[in-house]
Amino acid sequence: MSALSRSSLIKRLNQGDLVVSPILKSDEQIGGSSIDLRMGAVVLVSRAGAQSHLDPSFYKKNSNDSSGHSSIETKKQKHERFDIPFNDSFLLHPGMLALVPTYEWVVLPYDLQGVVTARSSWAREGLNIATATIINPGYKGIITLELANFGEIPIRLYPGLRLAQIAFYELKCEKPDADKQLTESQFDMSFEPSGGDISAGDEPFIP
Amino acid sequence: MSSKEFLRQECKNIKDVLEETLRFKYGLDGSKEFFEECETRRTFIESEINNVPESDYSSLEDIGININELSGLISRIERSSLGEYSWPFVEELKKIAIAVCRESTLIGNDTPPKVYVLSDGGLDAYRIYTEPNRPRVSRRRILTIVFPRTLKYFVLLHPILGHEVGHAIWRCSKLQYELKKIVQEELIDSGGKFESPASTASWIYDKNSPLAIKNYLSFLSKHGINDANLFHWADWEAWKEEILCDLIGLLSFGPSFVAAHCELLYALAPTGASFGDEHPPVGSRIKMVIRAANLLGYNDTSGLSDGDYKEGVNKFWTNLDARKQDDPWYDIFSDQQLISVMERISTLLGQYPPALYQETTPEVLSALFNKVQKQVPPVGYEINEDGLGICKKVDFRNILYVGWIAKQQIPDMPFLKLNQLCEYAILQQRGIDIFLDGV
Repeated sequence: MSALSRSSLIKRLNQGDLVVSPILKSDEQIGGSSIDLRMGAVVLVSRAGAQSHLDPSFYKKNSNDSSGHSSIETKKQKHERFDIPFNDSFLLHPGMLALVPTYEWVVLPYDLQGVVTARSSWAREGLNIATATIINPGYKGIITLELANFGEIPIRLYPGLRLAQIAFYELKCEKPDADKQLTESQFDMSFEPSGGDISAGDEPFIP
Repeated sequence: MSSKEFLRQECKNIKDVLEETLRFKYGLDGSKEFFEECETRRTFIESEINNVPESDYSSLEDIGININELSGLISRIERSSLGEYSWPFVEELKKIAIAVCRESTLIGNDTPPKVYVLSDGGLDAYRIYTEPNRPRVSRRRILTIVFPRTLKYFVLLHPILGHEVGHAIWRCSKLQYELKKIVQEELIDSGGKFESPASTASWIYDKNSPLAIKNYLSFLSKHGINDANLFHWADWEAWKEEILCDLIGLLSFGPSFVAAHCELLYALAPTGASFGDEHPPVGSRIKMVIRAANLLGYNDTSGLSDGDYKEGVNKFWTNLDARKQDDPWYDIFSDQQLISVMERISTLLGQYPPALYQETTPEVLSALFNKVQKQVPPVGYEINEDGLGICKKVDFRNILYVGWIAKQQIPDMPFLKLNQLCEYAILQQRGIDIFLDGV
């Protein structure tokens, strides 16, 4: 697995199988081995008071009745959703976790994997992307950034700011045709961030 | 409690509710201007109540009407929440409404309206409240744009609001006179089915009308409506206004209006035969808009290169033509009447950019279409071989047109996803425009 350099990134972007659109300031946004990503216009924040604590067993219970009232209510009330138009802002308080889409639309071909991290200039201010997010081959849509303020003072965020960066890695594909077929059908387009299901696949371990 | 005391109490209630509205956020423009406008009106009404004698029932009745209007306005605004409608679309729509709905007010001769947006139930919720009655002290008109809640992401249907913009322009004193003159000279005085209420009634009750119309007239006759009293029940002036607003919708939104108009009207009136006291027959309205679009040359594909895009454009217009009512009874105006009226409305709207839709080049539309095919939001952006990103301004109405072409040419893409892709494109394009303006 090798990372794509600037020239390789540009070549793949030109071929059109890798898409990061739009790159507003390409001379600055495309770096030596990564592309900067901007903040989108929605923020999802866990609603304080909606849940007493986080427990995978709630997710398990709800997944058994995914279309029932309590399951939907739990999902919908877990996060508060803020639409933040351009030139408006959102205050990320210390200790707060916010799910934010990227402004850019990203499409990955079957043979590339993306890894998203915070830009170091923001990380030094305390803004972190909670984990290094892996974007699987075949993904298309916005990328969800899990922003957390690790500092001690609130940070005001504006849509359009370059907060994150994505690096791309070529995958070793033994059966390219099979990989291509699988990845093309695996993902639906993703337009907004949403919460995950922390119980999926681990049910046997959750009472 | 006397009438006067009751109204005074309601005035205080309105003050409380108005203050409550400040609990919420109302988008980038904030709520200051809205709050101050409503408070000015409320204070004026309160002083009127204080000055009017208990026995002046006529004045008290007028004050009651103003209080009701204000109360309705505030409660609608309170329900306005950014998350319930497509704000990227709204931002573009506002530019059109603010440009063209200017008028003389107490604060100036060219005052733009204040625009607020909310969502409501029902497919027919699309409307713009224009405030027909305002207290004398009102400093600016407040336009409240309403979207159907269930159609939040369906931006491809939102161009129907072009019709509602027409109603808003019609209500604005500045352009009302000119528009009335255009309609009178080009659609009424020029003769035909709308020459007079009598000629319109005689068209509706024509013995050669289609069976669907005859059935509908038979239904109306059970309610006592016939050719002699049709325009006692229906409002001929309102029918004319509807026709004008359809043409304004077409000229302000372009091809995307034609598709949205056809989809929504047929969804609510599938036979095309029904009409209402304020609306002429649906089939006639749809046929007129499609014909007018053809007269504008929107369906001309002669300059396009062969390929998926050209095929999509052909399908788009062919499918629309196929949904037109065949029977010539549904034709309201001659081609010459439509050409003349559109020329004059275009000239009028053209004075208030961006109110008039401007066609872009086939190359731009084709490039946008290629993006939709790749499931990428169609925005004005390309990257060249040197890795230089090139951003361009693209009018949101062309993004919507491309979305409709894609609906024909990419039938596998669910309509919701196609709409979301176009909505995200409008949002991204706004970012591009801000970036280009700031460079």
